Amino acid sequence: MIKTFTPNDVLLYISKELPPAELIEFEEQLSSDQELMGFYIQCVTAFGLLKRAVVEPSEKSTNFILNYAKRPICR
Amino acid sequence: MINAVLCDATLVSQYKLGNDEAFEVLLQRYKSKVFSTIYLIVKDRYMAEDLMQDTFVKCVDTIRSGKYNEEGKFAPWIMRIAHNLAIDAFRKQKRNPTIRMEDGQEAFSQFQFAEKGVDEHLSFIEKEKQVRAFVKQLPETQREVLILRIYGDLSFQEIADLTGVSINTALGRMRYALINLRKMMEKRQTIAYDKNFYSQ
Repeated sequence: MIKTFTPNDVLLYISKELPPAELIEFEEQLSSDQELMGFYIQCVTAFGLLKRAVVEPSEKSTNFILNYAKRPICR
Repeated sequence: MINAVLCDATLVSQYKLGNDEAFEVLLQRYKSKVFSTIYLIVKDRYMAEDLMQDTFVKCVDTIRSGKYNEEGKFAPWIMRIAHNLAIDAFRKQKRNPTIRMEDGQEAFSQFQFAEKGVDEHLSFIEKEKQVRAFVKQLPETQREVLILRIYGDLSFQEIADLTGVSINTALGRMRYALINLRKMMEKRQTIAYDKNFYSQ
Protein backbone atom coordinates (compact mmCIF):
# COMPACT_ATOMS: atom_id res chain seq x y z
CA MET A 1 0.00 0.00 0.00
CA ILE A 2 1.30 3.47 -0.87
CA LYS A 3 1.65 5.72 2.14
CA THR A 4 0.56 9.36 1.89
CA PHE A 5 3.04 11.51 3.73
CA THR A 6 1.96 14.55 5.73
CA PRO A 7 3.65 17.73 7.04
CA ASN A 8 4.37 15.79 10.26
CA ASP A 9 6.50 13.41 8.19
CA VAL A 10 8.37 16.43 6.78
CA LEU A 11 9.26 17.47 10.34
CA LEU A 12 10.39 13.93 11.14
CA TYR A 13 12.43 13.82 7.92
CA ILE A 14 14.23 17.08 8.74
CA SER A 15 14.91 15.79 12.26
CA LYS A 16 16.23 12.48 10.83
CA GLU A 17 13.53 10.58 12.69
CA LEU A 18 11.66 9.10 9.74
CA PRO A 19 12.00 5.28 9.70
CA PRO A 20 14.78 4.29 7.24
CA ALA A 21 12.37 2.01 5.42
CA GLU A 22 10.21 5.00 4.49
CA LEU A 23 12.97 7.34 3.31
CA ILE A 24 12.99 6.51 -0.41
CA GLU A 25 9.21 6.57 -0.69
CA PHE A 26 9.10 9.89 1.20
CA GLU A 27 11.74 11.53 -0.99
CA GLU A 28 9.91 10.39 -4.13
CA GLN A 29 6.65 11.93 -2.89
CA LEU A 30 8.45 15.07 -1.75
CA SER A 31 9.88 15.69 -5.20
CA SER A 32 6.48 15.32 -6.88
CA ASP A 33 4.21 17.00 -4.30
CA GLN A 34 4.41 20.79 -4.50
CA GLU A 35 2.55 21.38 -1.24
CA LEU A 36 4.82 19.04 0.71
CA MET A 37 7.91 20.55 -0.93
CA GLY A 38 6.67 24.05 -0.07
CA PHE A 39 6.29 23.08 3.57
CA TYR A 40 9.73 21.41 3.53
CA ILE A 41 11.39 24.58 2.20
CA GLN A 42 9.56 26.73 4.77
CA CYS A 43 10.72 24.44 7.57
CA VAL A 44 14.35 24.31 6.47
CA THR A 45 14.41 28.10 6.15
CA ALA A 46 12.77 28.61 9.55
CA PHE A 47 15.07 26.08 11.25
CA GLY A 48 18.12 27.85 9.82
CA LEU A 49 16.89 31.25 10.96
CA LEU A 50 15.99 30.00 14.42
CA LYS A 51 19.30 28.19 14.92
CA ARG A 52 21.16 31.43 14.21
CA ALA A 53 19.30 33.12 17.06
CA VAL A 54 21.02 30.96 19.69
CA VAL A 55 21.91 32.78 22.91
CA GLU A 56 25.24 32.43 24.71
CA PRO A 57 25.51 32.46 28.49
CA SER A 58 27.86 34.91 30.20
CA GLU A 59 31.45 33.97 30.93
CA LYS A 60 30.69 34.54 34.61
CA SER A 61 28.10 31.73 34.66
CA THR A 62 30.37 29.38 32.72
CA ASN A 63 33.25 30.03 35.13
CA PHE A 64 31.01 29.54 38.14
CA ILE A 65 29.98 26.11 36.85
CA LEU A 66 33.56 25.13 36.03
CA ASN A 67 34.76 26.10 39.49
CA TYR A 68 31.89 24.19 41.05
CA ALA A 69 32.68 21.10 38.96
CA LYS A 70 36.36 21.26 39.92
CA ARG A 71 35.91 21.64 43.65
CA PRO A 72 37.33 18.78 45.71
CA ILE A 73 34.88 16.17 46.94
CA CYS A 74 34.40 16.33 50.72
CA ARG A 75 34.08 12.85 52.23
CA MET B 1 44.41 16.54 26.96
CA ILE B 2 40.85 15.32 26.51
CA ASN B 3 39.69 14.72 22.96
CA ALA B 4 36.70 16.94 22.13
CA VAL B 5 35.16 14.26 19.86
CA LEU B 6 34.70 11.76 22.70
CA CYS B 7 31.08 10.72 23.22
CA ASP B 8 29.05 12.06 26.15
CA ALA B 9 29.02 8.73 28.01
CA THR B 10 32.85 8.53 27.93
CA LEU B 11 33.15 12.12 29.15
CA VAL B 12 30.76 11.45 32.03
CA SER B 13 32.76 8.34 33.01
CA GLN B 14 36.02 10.28 32.79
CA TYR B 15 34.62 13.04 34.98
CA LYS B 16 33.40 10.50 37.50
CA LEU B 17 36.96 9.18 37.67
CA GLY B 18 38.19 12.65 38.57
CA ASN B 19 39.07 14.14 35.17
CA ASP B 20 37.71 17.71 35.40
CA GLU B 21 38.68 18.44 31.82
CA ALA B 22 36.05 15.94 30.66
CA PHE B 23 33.35 18.02 32.33
CA GLU B 24 34.70 21.16 30.68
CA VAL B 25 34.18 19.51 27.28
CA LEU B 26 30.61 18.58 28.24
CA LEU B 27 29.95 22.13 29.41
CA GLN B 28 31.28 23.63 26.18
CA ARG B 29 29.19 21.16 24.20
CA TYR B 30 25.89 21.90 25.98
CA LYS B 31 26.04 25.37 27.51
CA SER B 32 24.51 27.21 24.51
CA LYS B 33 21.75 24.63 24.06
CA VAL B 34 20.89 24.65 27.75
CA PHE B 35 21.07 28.42 28.03
CA SER B 36 19.02 29.16 24.88
CA THR B 37 16.36 26.67 25.96
CA ILE B 38 16.05 28.21 29.42
CA TYR B 39 16.24 31.80 28.20
CA LEU B 40 13.50 31.40 25.61
CA ILE B 41 11.21 29.76 28.17
CA VAL B 42 11.67 32.18 31.06
CA LYS B 43 12.28 35.22 28.80
CA ASP B 44 14.63 36.81 31.32
CA ARG B 45 18.40 36.80 30.99
CA TYR B 46 19.20 37.18 34.69
CA MET B 47 16.95 34.31 35.61
CA ALA B 48 18.26 32.19 32.74
CA GLU B 49 21.86 32.66 33.96
CA ASP B 50 20.85 31.45 37.44
CA LEU B 51 18.88 28.51 36.10
CA MET B 52 21.69 27.44 33.80
CA GLN B 53 24.01 27.37 36.79
CA ASP B 54 21.42 25.36 38.77
CA THR B 55 21.10 22.89 35.88
CA PHE B 56 24.82 22.16 35.68
CA VAL B 57 25.22 22.12 39.48
CA LYS B 58 22.51 19.45 39.62
CA CYS B 59 24.30 17.61 36.82
CA VAL B 60 27.65 17.72 38.70
CA ASP B 61 26.07 16.59 41.97
CA THR B 62 24.25 13.69 40.33
CA ILE B 63 27.32 12.43 38.47
CA ARG B 64 29.60 12.79 41.48
CA SER B 65 27.18 11.05 43.82
CA GLY B 66 27.06 8.07 41.46
CA LYS B 67 23.33 8.52 40.85
CA TYR B 68 23.66 9.21 37.11
CA ASN B 69 22.07 6.42 35.10
CA GLU B 70 24.63 5.43 32.48
CA GLU B 71 22.04 3.67 30.37
CA GLY B 72 20.28 6.94 29.62
CA LYS B 73 21.58 9.53 27.18
CA PHE B 74 23.26 12.63 28.57
CA ALA B 75 21.62 15.17 26.20
CA PRO B 76 17.95 14.37 26.92
CA TRP B 77 18.81 14.05 30.61
CA ILE B 78 20.39 17.50 30.97
CA MET B 79 17.75 19.09 28.75
CA ARG B 80 15.07 17.55 30.97
CA ILE B 81 16.67 19.15 34.05
CA ALA B 82 16.92 22.52 32.26
CA HIS B 83 13.37 22.32 30.92
CA ASN B 84 11.83 21.40 34.29
CA LEU B 85 13.69 24.16 36.15
CA ALA B 86 12.74 26.71 33.46
CA ILE B 87 9.06 25.71 33.39
CA ASP B 88 8.83 25.88 37.19
CA ALA B 89 10.48 29.32 37.21
CA PHE B 90 8.32 30.57 34.34
CA ARG B 91 5.11 29.55 36.12
CA LYS B 92 6.26 31.16 39.38
CA GLN B 93 7.22 34.28 37.43
CA LYS B 94 3.77 34.41 35.83
CA ARG B 95 2.21 34.39 39.29
CA ASN B 96 4.64 37.09 40.53
CA PRO B 97 5.62 39.15 37.47
CA THR B 98 8.86 41.11 37.65
CA ILE B 99 9.09 44.79 36.75
CA ARG B 100 10.94 45.37 33.50
CA MET B 101 12.58 48.54 32.24
CA GLU B 102 10.39 50.78 30.12
CA ASP B 103 12.27 50.12 26.87
CA GLY B 104 12.43 46.37 27.58
CA GLN B 105 16.21 46.52 27.17
CA GLU B 106 17.94 43.29 28.08
CA ALA B 107 20.72 43.84 30.57
CA PHE B 108 23.36 41.63 28.99
CA SER B 109 22.46 42.08 25.34
CA GLN B 110 25.77 43.73 24.59
CA PHE B 111 27.67 40.63 25.74
CA GLN B 112 26.07 37.95 23.66
CA PHE B 113 27.90 38.75 20.45
CA ALA B 114 31.19 39.63 22.12
CA GLU B 115 33.08 37.00 20.19
CA LYS B 116 31.75 38.09 16.80
CA GLY B 117 33.24 40.83 14.67
CA VAL B 118 31.69 44.30 14.73
CA ASP B 119 30.35 44.10 11.16
CA GLU B 120 28.86 40.67 11.72
CA HIS B 121 27.36 41.89 14.97
CA LEU B 122 25.67 44.84 13.28
CA SER B 123 24.31 42.86 10.36
CA PHE B 124 22.80 40.02 12.40
CA ILE B 125 21.79 41.53 15.71
CA GLU B 126 18.45 42.97 14.60
CA LYS B 127 17.31 39.83 12.79
CA GLU B 128 18.39 37.54 15.62
CA LYS B 129 16.74 39.76 18.21
CA GLN B 130 13.54 39.81 16.17
CA VAL B 131 13.50 36.03 15.80
CA ARG B 132 13.90 35.61 19.56
CA ALA B 133 11.12 38.14 20.14
CA PHE B 134 8.80 36.16 17.83
CA VAL B 135 9.63 32.90 19.63
CA LYS B 136 8.82 34.52 22.98
CA GLN B 137 5.38 35.52 21.66
CA LEU B 138 4.34 31.96 20.77
CA PRO B 139 1.78 30.16 22.96
CA GLU B 140 3.51 28.26 25.76
CA THR B 141 2.98 24.71 24.44
CA GLN B 142 4.16 25.63 20.93
CA ARG B 143 7.15 27.56 22.23
CA GLU B 144 8.15 24.63 24.43
CA VAL B 145 8.29 22.12 21.55
CA LEU B 146 10.05 24.53 19.20
CA ILE B 147 12.72 25.42 21.77
CA LEU B 148 13.38 21.81 22.76
CA ARG B 149 13.68 20.77 19.10
CA ILE B 150 15.73 23.67 17.75
CA TYR B 151 17.88 24.70 20.71
CA GLY B 152 17.75 21.61 22.91
CA ASP B 153 18.31 19.31 19.92
CA LEU B 154 15.88 16.72 21.26
CA SER B 155 14.03 14.35 18.95
CA PHE B 156 10.24 14.65 18.70
CA GLN B 157 9.91 11.36 20.58
CA GLU B 158 12.11 12.69 23.39
CA ILE B 159 10.06 15.91 23.48
CA ALA B 160 6.84 13.90 23.62
CA ASP B 161 8.22 11.84 26.54
CA LEU B 162 9.46 14.93 28.35
CA THR B 163 6.27 16.94 28.00
CA GLY B 164 3.89 14.02 28.54
CA VAL B 165 2.09 14.16 25.19
CA SER B 166 1.94 11.89 22.13
CA ILE B 167 4.45 12.35 19.33
CA ASN B 168 1.64 13.50 17.03
CA THR B 169 0.68 16.23 19.49
CA ALA B 170 4.31 17.36 19.70
CA LEU B 171 4.55 17.42 15.89
CA GLY B 172 1.26 19.33 15.63
CA ARG B 173 2.47 21.95 18.10
CA MET B 174 5.67 22.34 16.13
CA ARG B 175 3.71 22.85 12.91
CA TYR B 176 1.54 25.52 14.52
CA ALA B 177 4.61 27.19 15.99
CA LEU B 178 6.18 27.42 12.53
CA ILE B 179 2.93 28.66 10.99
CA ASN B 180 2.59 31.35 13.68
CA LEU B 181 6.22 32.41 13.30
CA ARG B 182 5.70 32.76 9.58
CA LYS B 183 2.60 34.91 10.13
CA MET B 184 4.52 37.16 12.54
CA MET B 185 7.36 37.55 10.06
CA GLU B 186 5.01 38.31 7.20
CA LYS B 187 3.16 40.87 9.32
CA ARG B 188 6.43 42.55 10.23
CA GLN B 189 7.54 42.63 6.61
CA THR B 190 4.23 44.20 5.60
CA ILE B 191 4.62 46.90 8.25
CA ALA B 192 8.21 47.56 7.16
CA TYR B 193 7.06 47.75 3.53
CA ASP B 194 4.25 50.17 4.38
CA LYS B 195 6.64 52.41 6.32
CA ASN B 196 9.00 52.55 3.35
CA PHE B 197 6.11 53.31 1.03
CA TYR B 198 4.78 56.21 3.07
CA SER B 199 8.20 57.68 3.79
CA GLN B 200 8.86 58.23 0.08
